Amino acid sequence: MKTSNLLLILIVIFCFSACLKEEIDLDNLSSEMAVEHEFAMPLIYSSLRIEDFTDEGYDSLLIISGDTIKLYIIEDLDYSDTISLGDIGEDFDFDYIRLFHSFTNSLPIGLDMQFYLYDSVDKQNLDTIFLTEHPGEIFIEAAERNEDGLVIEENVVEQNGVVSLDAEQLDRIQYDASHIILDAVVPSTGEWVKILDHYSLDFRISTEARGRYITDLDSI
Amino acid sequence: MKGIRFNLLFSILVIAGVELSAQVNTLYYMPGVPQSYYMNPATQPGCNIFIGIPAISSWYMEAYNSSIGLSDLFWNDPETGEVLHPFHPDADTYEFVEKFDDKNYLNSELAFNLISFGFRIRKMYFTFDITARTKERLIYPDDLLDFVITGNTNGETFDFSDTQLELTEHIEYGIGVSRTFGDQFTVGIRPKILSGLAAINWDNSHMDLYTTRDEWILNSDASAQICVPGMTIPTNEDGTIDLDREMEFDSTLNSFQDYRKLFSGNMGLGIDLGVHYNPMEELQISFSVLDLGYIKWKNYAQTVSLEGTYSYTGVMLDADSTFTYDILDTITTHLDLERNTGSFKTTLDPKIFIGARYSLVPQFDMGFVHRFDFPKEGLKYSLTLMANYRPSHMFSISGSYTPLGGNARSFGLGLSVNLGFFNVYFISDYLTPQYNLVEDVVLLDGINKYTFRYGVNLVFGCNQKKKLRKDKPMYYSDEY
Repeated sequence: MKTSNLLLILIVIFCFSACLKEEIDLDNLSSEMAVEHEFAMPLIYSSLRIEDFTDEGYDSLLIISGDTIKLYIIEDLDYSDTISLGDIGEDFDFDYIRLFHSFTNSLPIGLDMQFYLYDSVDKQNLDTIFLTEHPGEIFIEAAERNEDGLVIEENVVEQNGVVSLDAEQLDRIQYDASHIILDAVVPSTGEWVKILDHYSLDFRISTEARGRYITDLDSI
Repeated sequence: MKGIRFNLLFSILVIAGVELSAQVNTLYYMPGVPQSYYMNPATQPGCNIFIGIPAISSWYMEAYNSSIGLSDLFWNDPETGEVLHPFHPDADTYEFVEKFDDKNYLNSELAFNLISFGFRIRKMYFTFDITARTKERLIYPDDLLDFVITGNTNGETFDFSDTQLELTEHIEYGIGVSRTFGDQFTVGIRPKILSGLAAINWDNSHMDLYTTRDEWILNSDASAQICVPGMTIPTNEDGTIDLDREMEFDSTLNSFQDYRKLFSGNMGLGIDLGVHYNPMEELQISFSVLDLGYIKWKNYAQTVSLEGTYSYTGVMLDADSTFTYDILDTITTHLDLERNTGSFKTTLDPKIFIGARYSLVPQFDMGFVHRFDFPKEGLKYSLTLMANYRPSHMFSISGSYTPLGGNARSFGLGLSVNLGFFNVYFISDYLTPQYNLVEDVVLLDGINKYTFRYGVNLVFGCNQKKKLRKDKPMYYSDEY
């Protein structure tokens, strides 16, 4: 028998032996698991440019690359939507979540937004989550514009803010609220404004959070 | 399921995870165990002939975690009777993480004889054995645990530079010969042919992760040498690794000849040397060098390098791409993830033993062994004190204590019993009377190093007194 044949046979024996393993059964091993964890991490970012939409051929907006859009929002535009929360984050028990947002808006229109926590059983709003730190502030301010309705691009600045959710609010989201209602408003421009195709909305959202990851060993 | 779970956790500590020894020191002066020549090839087993029963003649298992033991992973809750673990809601996970040092070792070794036999011809003793060995060594920094278990904060840096993983599987063919010269010297040599089965050698020259809430930056200069015969890592035309495809089995392997060649391409050589010197009848001084050798990995040897800087700034909102694809694509763009083919070499971990024993009475001796290990990360030293008692050729017992380089709270124990033609033995360097009984499982308290060698041999010609009676019918002394 050649040495290499012998080797092959030995490898087969070795592999077979390696498959043998001793397993110890701990019937009373607790399957509960909770790990304290904190993290600081970036979540999402984007840069939405008008010209990207024109390149994609959004014909319904009748925008062609190079166009200047003239817009006059006479009254505030309201938009609301109700989103079912379902079973969100049931594996996590957060102490806090802080969402840090940063917007650079070179569009002459702004956006305000807030959320309501809604309990569909008792048919009542449980809490309001404001995205601004002070009442009356607009979430995303419209860019400053000149007398021609064009944005003064050198004056466009980054707007930073933070949304802090404490353990009480997070409990309401997680356990009490059945829906979350989004309420968004595009404030009136008050006059004609012009939108050029290189205007953009850049944003970045990151988070800091701390809590416990609660699970069952059987589910791992 | 729970059994599997325990097995997984145990595997993390034991199987995946060692000490550098690959030998139990207590065996050094136990010639009643045929495999004692593993410690010093000059040692001649006590029986004239031994035949290792295939696959069970010698099992060696070793596990070591430099920071925790099994009793740190499982314990009883006295109130509920449940078995708890560090991640249980009632446990303090932070206290568990703090048990780890800056640099931690998780090693394991498993070896067993496939074939072994030996016999005496006058002053010489010949041995032959084929042993399968699996060795794993993981070095991991506490930063890795911090990051995975407790998470990160804004502005925190994690240094993963000390991370190393070595995993080798090979078959060892050893032919040993020991010869006595006069009454004072016994010299032994045991050359070995090594046949490599698989190897992974991951080494981080540098790797750190800087985390803020706006950006995670990974700096990496790492490489892994991989040899898994039959498996290839898919690459693009420019040599970078194609992360869209999984490792592939070489489809050109079809015949028995192909498979035979597959496992005979990674060969190496090794040698053990040893000597016993008896300056007087009661005193024996010993010296041995083990595991000088290497394996050259040529068949399907590949080197993967991961160099560069990668910055993660979140998921870009883009309807046309998926998150996973984005991440992988960015990694390959910003980090130089390349595969190169070419052979590499791994070495065994050499060891030097210097020992002595003194016979107080013919059946009882006491001694010590200095041990020097030479792994890649530097010299390791240990001192083992031992006592050996052999009331008859049928039974021997050895006790040992390793106060330096071992565990001062534990002791070693070796037992060898001859039942007719059967020799049964069990040896461990690290035992303790203190233990926790978790259900029916005994978890030694305060022990983070486990070494066991046990096996069954067929032995013949072990009763030297009987031989003396035959050889010298006119004179007989119990001192022999």
